[in-house]
Amino acid sequence: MNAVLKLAEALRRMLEWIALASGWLLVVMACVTTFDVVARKFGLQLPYTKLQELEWHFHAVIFSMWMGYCYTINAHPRVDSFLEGKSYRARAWVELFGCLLLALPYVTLVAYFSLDYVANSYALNEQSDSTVGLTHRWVIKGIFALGLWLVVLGILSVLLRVIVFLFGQKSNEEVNLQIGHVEADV
Amino acid sequence: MWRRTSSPAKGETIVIDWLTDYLSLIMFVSMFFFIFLGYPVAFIMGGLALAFALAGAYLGVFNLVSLSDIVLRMWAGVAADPVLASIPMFIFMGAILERSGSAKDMLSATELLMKWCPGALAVSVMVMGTILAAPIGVVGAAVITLSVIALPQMMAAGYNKQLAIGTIASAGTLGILIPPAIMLVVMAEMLATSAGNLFLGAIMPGFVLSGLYTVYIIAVAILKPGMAPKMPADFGPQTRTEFWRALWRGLFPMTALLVVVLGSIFAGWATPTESGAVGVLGSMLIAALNKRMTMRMMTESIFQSCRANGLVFMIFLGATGFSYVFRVLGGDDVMISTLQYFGITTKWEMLTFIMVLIFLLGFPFEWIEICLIVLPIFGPILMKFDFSDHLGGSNTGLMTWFGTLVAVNLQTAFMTPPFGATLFYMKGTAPPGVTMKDVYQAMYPFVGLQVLGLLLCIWFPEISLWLPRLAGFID
Amino acid sequence: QAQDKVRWKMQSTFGSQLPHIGTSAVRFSKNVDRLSAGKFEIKFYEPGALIPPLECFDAVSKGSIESCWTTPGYHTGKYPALAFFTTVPFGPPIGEFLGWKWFGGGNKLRDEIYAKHGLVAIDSFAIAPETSGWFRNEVKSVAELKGMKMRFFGLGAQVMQKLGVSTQLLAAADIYQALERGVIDATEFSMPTMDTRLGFHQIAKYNYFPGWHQQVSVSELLMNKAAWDKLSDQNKAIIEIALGESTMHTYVESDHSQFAAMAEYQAKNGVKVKRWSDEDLAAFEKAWMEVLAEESAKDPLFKKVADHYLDYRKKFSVWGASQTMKPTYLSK
Ligand code: NA
Ligand code: NA
Repeated sequence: MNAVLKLAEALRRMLEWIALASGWLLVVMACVTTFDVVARKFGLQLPYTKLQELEWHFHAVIFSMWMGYCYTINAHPRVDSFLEGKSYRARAWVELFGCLLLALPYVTLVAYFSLDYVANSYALNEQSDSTVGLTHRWVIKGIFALGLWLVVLGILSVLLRVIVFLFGQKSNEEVNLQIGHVEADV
Repeated sequence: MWRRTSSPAKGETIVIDWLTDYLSLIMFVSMFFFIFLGYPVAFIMGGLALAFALAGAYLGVFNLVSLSDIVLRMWAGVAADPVLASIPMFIFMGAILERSGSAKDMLSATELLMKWCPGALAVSVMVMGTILAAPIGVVGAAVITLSVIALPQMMAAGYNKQLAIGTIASAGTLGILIPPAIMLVVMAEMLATSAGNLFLGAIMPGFVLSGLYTVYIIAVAILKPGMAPKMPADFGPQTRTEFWRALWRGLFPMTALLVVVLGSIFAGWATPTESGAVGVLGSMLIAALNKRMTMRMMTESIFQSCRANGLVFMIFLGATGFSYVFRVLGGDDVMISTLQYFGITTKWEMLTFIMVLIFLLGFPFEWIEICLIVLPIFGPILMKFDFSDHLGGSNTGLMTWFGTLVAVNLQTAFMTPPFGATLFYMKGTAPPGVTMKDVYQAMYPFVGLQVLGLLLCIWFPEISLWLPRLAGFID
Repeated sequence: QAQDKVRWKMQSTFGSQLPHIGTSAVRFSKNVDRLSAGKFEIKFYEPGALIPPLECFDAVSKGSIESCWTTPGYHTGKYPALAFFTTVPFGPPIGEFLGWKWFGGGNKLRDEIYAKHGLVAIDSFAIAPETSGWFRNEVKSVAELKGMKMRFFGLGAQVMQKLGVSTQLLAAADIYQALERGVIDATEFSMPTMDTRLGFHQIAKYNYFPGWHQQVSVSELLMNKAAWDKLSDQNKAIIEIALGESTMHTYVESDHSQFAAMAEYQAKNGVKVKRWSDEDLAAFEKAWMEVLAEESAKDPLFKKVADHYLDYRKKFSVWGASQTMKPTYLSK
């Protein structure tokens, strides 16, 4: 069980590292967009379509890198009224079934389909639909697909903790399971 | 493909036919049940999408390959949408303002000016919300910005938790109604009418709603002072110099930011979606001028923004799968058959039906889904009616009037429990100790006001049509 | 018997309320129902209802939906050469263009590309020339275009860039706003009947002609090949014949409807109808020839299609030039 717990923690740490690093793109995105606005106003001749596509590329990277991590820190909103007053163990059971029957199958399937999507894009050397836009579209599509797989890993990380908590005779402090209504610090 | 092959017995056929016809309805209803398990909403919607896709495949009405379309929907409809890409920028701007203390100064200054008014802090939030509404036409961004800025402060001031949440949620949601608003542009496209008409048409209803909220807050503050504590008599600075200093410290960043964000739009420098990025740099500059631009402040702001961004787009990932499967299973047709079932024929019956339908769909669906489902079906049907006796002698304003009614109604959809997007944004940014139930209960009085506002707009069409008429856009 | 009914889904790239390009899709769907006496359903879906408008290629190729009401120019991210099958800058009028596509071997080149992805397509509608754009201020000559900010899409965007225009990528939802506030100085979109639906005539008072970048635009019903092969011969015939009728019907309808829309926006909104001078048009055409050469150098497939098209036009000119007439021969 300790090994399982270690794996869960390793997954979470990896997701955290990726998330925190990609977060700085927010600053880059703000600078690039503002540069775009100012340069356009002053009539600089730049490939604006490329610049403007780059702006949403940053956004796609950021949310792709954060969706999975958000689950490991219990940030995804829940409707918690039904479980109020129930034991933590009962919630863990719901989490177990939720992971196994709802989250994992759906996200894994979508992530699986995304691979084909990236492969096609790579094979065709796909570029922007706008003829004056960015080329190498498979890169950003690949990052998006990677993001979906990171969600799968995030779900696995939580699932492993739930299993240890339910069947491993460990206290919640040891397992550090974060489920139920959102407690994240804002 | 995985599906039934043997031919069924007669009784079984009836059950299967019934299931095939009503699968989308069952899907719709089951979400209301599953949502209360307390599992993340995004995963519930996604999981149900897959479950009902499998059921549909078993009954031979769903092709499982179609599930790959969810990737396309998420990619082109969400990731590659430049409009949605502005959401993190607006969130980031709000986070920097909050973390660097600028927002607090700002709200204190508004409060200082509103000191004479009962429920001063809440009214200040409403004023700020209406002002912020203008530049932030992006769904959710205004709510998140306001929530991050004002909720901790209102709770610290001893406000009733639910009054605080309701005030912020409704003030922030105004952003989608007061132009520039992305929602109005999408609606204009679906109704095949001019975006300009809708922009002008939605301004007055936006202010009417803002007024209704303010009156309500002041009434609560007078009738139940416990919910909105009066400011202590010695509130704020006691000397004239200090008063002006506090006002300057609070109003300078607000004015500067308004100049930057609103100014960049109205001067034609930036589109509304680009203005968020300009606002980010603006708020960083303000923090730097106040000597609060620290590494710690930045990492905290980034963490908070990305976290909110991650959860918003995870909901998109689940919701896009859900609405896709719902539609393929014939959810649209079920709506039309409902219309036939009720035998709806006259123009007022029709309008009432559409309004009630949109209101009900607002419980589980996002505005964009509603626009896609309802407007193309019912817009053309309503267009055939002559409302000129109600609209001041001419029918040319019909689409504008109808469009603004739908917009107000959709704004309500944002705030209705259990799935209104605003509620999740609120929850995502609320301090610990705020439960989803708190958020739900907070919304009821404000949803009521919203319905009242809608009725006023229906009864007095001039609220919507006065400005477009003035501009000569309609007769 | 319900089982006998064939049901197809058709994702449209254009909204059902958009004149010509969207209404024709609904009309086609109804015609199939009429022709098959209700036994063949091609259900129309609004843009984005099933899949986002620009993702038709992947979805139909996979077979997740049977068909899309779209246009080849929307798949240029995958194959830039496909742009030719929608419209070509300084291209010919409908007769010659469809001549190249239908009888001159043009569409065969398209079919070769589609066949690699399990796709088949039939031309679904054509529309008359578009406007050259909506400008906030009068543009006296092409030289004044330099430094202007304009929303433009496709091969025409490259031409505009050659003339010093900064082409902007704007979400459809942002165009009106950006034009109103002056973030952009001009926009291209479609024809007067469609553009007025977006309200451009209320804010940009100069409408330029002729639409050199889109003299005729042809779209397609993009179908999954396996689904097509499975259809009965009768159902195939229904699709083919209904689309042939749709092509002619939509072209004539779109051609016929413009003068009234233009008269209305001139009288009611004070829009001025402007025309590029012959020198201006020469500048556009010269820039287009450069773009054509550059793109051909980059992509062999693009070159193959371009050469085929140019060769057809050359051969056609014996007949075309012999038949050209001025609008009138009476002195003014
Ligand atoms: Na707004
Ligand atoms: Na809702």
